[in-house]
Amino acid sequence: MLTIQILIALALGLVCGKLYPTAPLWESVDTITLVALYALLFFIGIDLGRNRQIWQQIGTYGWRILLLPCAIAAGTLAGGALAGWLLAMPVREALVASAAFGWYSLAGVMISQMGHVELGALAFLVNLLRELLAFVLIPLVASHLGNIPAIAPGGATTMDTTLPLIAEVTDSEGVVAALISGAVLSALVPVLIPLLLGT
Amino acid sequence: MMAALLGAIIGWRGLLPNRWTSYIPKLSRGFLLLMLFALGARVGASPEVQAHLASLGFRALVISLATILGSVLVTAITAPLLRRRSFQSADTNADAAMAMSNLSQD
Repeated sequence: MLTIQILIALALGLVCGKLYPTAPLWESVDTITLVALYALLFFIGIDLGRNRQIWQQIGTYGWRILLLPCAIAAGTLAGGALAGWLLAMPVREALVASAAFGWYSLAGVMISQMGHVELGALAFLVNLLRELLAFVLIPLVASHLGNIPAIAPGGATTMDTTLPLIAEVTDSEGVVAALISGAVLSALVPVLIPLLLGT
Repeated sequence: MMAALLGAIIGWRGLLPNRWTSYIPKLSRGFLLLMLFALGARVGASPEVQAHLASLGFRALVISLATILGSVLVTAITAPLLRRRSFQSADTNADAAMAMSNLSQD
């Protein structure tokens, strides 16, 4: 049900954007996204604040919670390398494009500014698609594989844009794990990309 | 982050009457769909993104899918490991054991 609503909302946006590409509304599309995101994060905050037990439970995870972003990073890079090999493109480039973990706004700009314009465009798309696909796949993964694997598709975005969705389809522990994992992966992006580019 | 923090403080202190908080799930769903609509519109209204999609779209899609599948796979494999260790340490802590069993149910 949620997946269908998500697909409809995305498709409606696409069609409206395509039909009325110059509508003045799109100039404020960034603002709309930001306001909606802030409102959602605010609601998640209220929920987390009300569930006081979570904060005691999260202490029982301890350092083990860091295994989650490590697993997501390892799986992402392995998948990216495999895709690069399958596509007969330089594996290093596929790794660079994968290493933004869904943070498309940073990936495109950062890689382009380092002098790799086409790779920047590819990385932008890879990560934009990752966020879009994450919205569709998170509910499916949650219902078939469980709450922890459901955090994986979101990558770095699980601390902001995909967090509201994770909050809907998992539980409070899922939200806290997603927040921590997303924060660690986001911090990793600006380190990993220059490292992989070898500059 | 600041928005979530502000919400957490308000929720923690119980500043909102229950009558208001009962609307939160519906409001959340609405804002989530609004955000996705805006995301779709951004792609739909940008000729630049569509030009890139035409030339690089297939490669991007393959890489994107592979990164998602890879991360889900590795996470699914390592999640039980994370859980089993949690169970051991949770023996002394009933709350934690309950939390972990909630996690493992799904």
